[in-house]
Amino acid sequence: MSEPRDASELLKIGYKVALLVFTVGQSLSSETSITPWYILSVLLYLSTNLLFYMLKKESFRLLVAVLSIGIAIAMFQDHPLVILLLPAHLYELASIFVGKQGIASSLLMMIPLLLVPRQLMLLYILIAAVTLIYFSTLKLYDNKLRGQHSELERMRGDLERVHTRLQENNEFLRQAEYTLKLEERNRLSQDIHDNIGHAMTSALIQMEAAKRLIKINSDQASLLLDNAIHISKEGIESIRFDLKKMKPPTEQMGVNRMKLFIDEFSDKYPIRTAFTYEGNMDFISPIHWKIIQDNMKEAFTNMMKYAGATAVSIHVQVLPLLIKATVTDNGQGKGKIVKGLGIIGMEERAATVGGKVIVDGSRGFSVTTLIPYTP
Amino acid sequence: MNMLEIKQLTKKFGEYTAVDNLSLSVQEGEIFGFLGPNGAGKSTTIHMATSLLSATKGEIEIMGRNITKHSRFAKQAIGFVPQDLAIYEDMTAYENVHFFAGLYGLRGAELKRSAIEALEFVGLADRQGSYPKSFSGGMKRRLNIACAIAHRPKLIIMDEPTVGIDPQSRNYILNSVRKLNRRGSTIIYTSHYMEEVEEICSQIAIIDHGKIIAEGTKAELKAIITNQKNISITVRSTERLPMEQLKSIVGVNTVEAAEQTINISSAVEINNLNPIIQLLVASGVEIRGVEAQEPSLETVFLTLTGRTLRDE
Amino acid sequence: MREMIWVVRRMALSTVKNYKIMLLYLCLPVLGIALASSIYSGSEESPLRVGVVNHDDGQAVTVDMVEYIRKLDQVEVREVRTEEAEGLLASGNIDAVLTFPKGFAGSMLSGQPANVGLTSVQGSQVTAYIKSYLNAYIGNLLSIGRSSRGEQAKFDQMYKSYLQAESGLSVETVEDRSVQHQKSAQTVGYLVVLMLFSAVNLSGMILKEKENRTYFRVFAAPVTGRAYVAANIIVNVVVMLIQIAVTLVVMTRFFHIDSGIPVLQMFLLLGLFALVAVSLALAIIAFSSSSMVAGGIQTMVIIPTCLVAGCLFPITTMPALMQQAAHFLPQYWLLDTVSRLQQGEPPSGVLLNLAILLAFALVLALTAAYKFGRNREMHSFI
Repeated sequence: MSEPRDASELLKIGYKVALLVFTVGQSLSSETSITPWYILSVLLYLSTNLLFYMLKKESFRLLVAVLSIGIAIAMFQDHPLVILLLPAHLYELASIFVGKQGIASSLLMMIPLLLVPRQLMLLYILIAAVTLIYFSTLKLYDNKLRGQHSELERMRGDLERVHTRLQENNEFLRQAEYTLKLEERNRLSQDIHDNIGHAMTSALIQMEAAKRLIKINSDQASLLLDNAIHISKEGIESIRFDLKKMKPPTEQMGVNRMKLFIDEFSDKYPIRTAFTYEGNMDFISPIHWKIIQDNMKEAFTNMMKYAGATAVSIHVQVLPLLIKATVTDNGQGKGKIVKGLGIIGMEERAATVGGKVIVDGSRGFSVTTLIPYTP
Repeated sequence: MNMLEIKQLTKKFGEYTAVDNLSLSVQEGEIFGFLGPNGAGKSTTIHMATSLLSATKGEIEIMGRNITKHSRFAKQAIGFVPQDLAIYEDMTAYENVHFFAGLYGLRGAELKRSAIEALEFVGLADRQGSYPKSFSGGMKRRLNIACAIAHRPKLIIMDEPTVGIDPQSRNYILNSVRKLNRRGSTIIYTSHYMEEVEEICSQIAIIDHGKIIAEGTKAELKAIITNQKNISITVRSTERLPMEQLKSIVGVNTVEAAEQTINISSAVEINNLNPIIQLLVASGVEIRGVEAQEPSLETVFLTLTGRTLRDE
Repeated sequence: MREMIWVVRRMALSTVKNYKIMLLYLCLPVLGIALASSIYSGSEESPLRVGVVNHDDGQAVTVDMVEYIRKLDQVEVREVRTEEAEGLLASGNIDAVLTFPKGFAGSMLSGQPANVGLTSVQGSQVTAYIKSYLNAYIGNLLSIGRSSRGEQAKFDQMYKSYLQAESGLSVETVEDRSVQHQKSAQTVGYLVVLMLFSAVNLSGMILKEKENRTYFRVFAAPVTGRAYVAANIIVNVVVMLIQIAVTLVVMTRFFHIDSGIPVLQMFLLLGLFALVAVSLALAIIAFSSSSMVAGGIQTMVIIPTCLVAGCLFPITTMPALMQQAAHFLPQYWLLDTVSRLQQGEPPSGVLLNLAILLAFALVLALTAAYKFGRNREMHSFI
């Protein structure tokens, strides 16, 4: 934050130095103008100016600003050019007093016009105008930078909020999914009850009837049995159908889902992939899987950005107290990693379950997500 | 009491984050190991704790007092052994220690006594009149330590005090660290040599890329990556092996017997070597060798980060 | 405070132990004195050869005047003809030509002096020397001429008594002192260069300690940046005061050079300049990232400014613009003060000069402080 202010301060100092060099340079050409008093005044003027930028307290700053102006005016008698130094000081003086300096300082700058000798009048007005424009531009740029900085902070805050809301929504979605599953189960049991129950009952009745009829009217009995067989067949068919509906698709499971995603990735890009895992995968809860998968996707995106990789390996390991998921590529890596939003996102994701993310660029690029768990 | 407490400390150099939201606390009386590869952010953290660097974010307390608000108190409480040798080549060993101890306010006879004592402590008393340029690397390191301990600080922070020295000096320094700890100083010991940290530290934090990735005692750290240890016993013969009794010893999971070796896999946190051996001896099994394989901190680091501590 | 004194102690110890540097600090000023006195003793030995072209032959006043010049210390006079004057001058057989116009003596009587021509190939130094004597002499004649109101008899009478009085004066002592003054002024010039160099070197200790890492170690102890810099300033000033004292003692006791200024005054004046030197050194250090850079800036700043300010050669040999620019250098004001005091101005007359020197110290110190303040981050300084 201090950097932009320092920069604009240096620009102001540079401007003043240029003006001083100009006025002093003029005095060099004439033999008589350099007197000891003149040198002393220039030195004191320099001192008060330096103090102005070093002091923190407003009242002291005001004092040295007034002193600077006083010294310049004292020099004015013998060196009328010195008057050109005044606009910058008057502007700074105005900036201590009032917030909106435009009008106030331009008015203040007009005051010395009363003193200015005729031949310097135009030059003075020029310098005053340049000073006004220069300093206002500096202020504008300074404010803009500061504004952008706070804007950035605000946006970062927003991002964080949005992120947490997303998290909450996901949680809600998971809940909804669960209720959906319950409903589905209900529907299934209803289906089983309705379809298969009915089929079995009617098959049973027909078979009972056939048993009684088998000695009296064997033809009739065989007809009934045929019917029962048909109904049973339909029932089995219906059971098959319902069971098929009930079983979740395999790709929804953690490891399989990972495999699926990685396969998709290697189909799309010319990068070899390898997925390995060790330890008891049952310890990885759906939330953990979600974080691991999201971080992996992010790592892939990162990898594509910092080119040079031809192969990537994904390794998930369940340790006694930690789950470790690593995505490593064989690219050039990067000595000092500057954290972008991608990495920060991964860190925040991991932090929601107390995990950590290590990004390393020393041998290729690797992203390791460490998530603690209680077995 | 917490000797050192670091709360959410962050240090950025431009855009680069050297220390990343790091929190830790060091209890009084500990030898706290700060383990991590070069460039992990150990030194940066240490420099912030010793007021040499200002933090970008976060807070540091020494004995419950904020170090920026109580700068003098904090500096007085710490003895700092920097990673880069900080000794004056144009002053003798004694003059060096004398000067640094004097900076902490010691004067007169007390100063002289403390300086000599510190030199004795690091084994340089007989060389006190010599100039550091005649010293070996290890001796310079020891002098560097003497300069930090003469004022008897409560907390001694050592930043890689054994870099580039011979094994003998290293052992000497490690012993000194233990002695200092027994004398009542809390010690923070930074190193990328895991053997050292494993040998002397009671509490260890593993740091990588500015973050603490694991923290705890040696056993706790090892428990993160495995809960098994392997005990391999060489015997003359396994004929009279009391298999069932062995398996019933607390912690033992599996026992495999080959012709002359018994491999026992056991819970890492239980020390059951004694009962196992006693049982074997009592059963008349002749023991020829015992080897207990535990994972090292190096393995912990390797497992967690996929890299070694030293880039060879 | 306690810590500061402790750091002072250490820095002093280090400085004293480094006997090579210490010897350099103290021997070079002595060498400077030797050099200065050899340069000016050279000018003592070779006399100024003046050719006189007399168009006003036979007049007593003119002849007496030539005699007067002949009697001046370090001057040889020979009569030359107009035609040969230029040739002699160009070939270096004579250093200057003095031309008396016809009716010069008469013009004295009338009170409206005819111009005496003075030509030389060397710098204005030669002519200035003779000119000053001639002007005084002619001035006296003129006032005699005026008070005699053009009456020849009255003039002769007054002129005679003037000549008698004149012969009673000793010209030599004044002349001797001027060489002594030049020697001492030159010595001061060399001393200034050395002081500036040693000041930057001593402050460079800060950078050196930064490079060998002890700097950071010191700040891990309860020492503030301010105390550390203050300690450096103290050591720096003390070393320079010793340097000044040694130079003055050697100059007056061993070389028997009389600067024309009481030794204590000279010591205080140079002491004041030591403050300027320290401030400059700190400013240079503040803008340097390493002792290498500081060394570079040091040479780039000190040598040219000393040259322009007239520390190494008399400022009168510089072009006019340079002489003007010299006013913005502290060295100029020190040398100016020295020469004013030598010319007999009382200390109260140079107060303004002293104020300027102080102001230079202030500006440089503030510059250093400003830069130190901005360097705060990345623990460069303070």
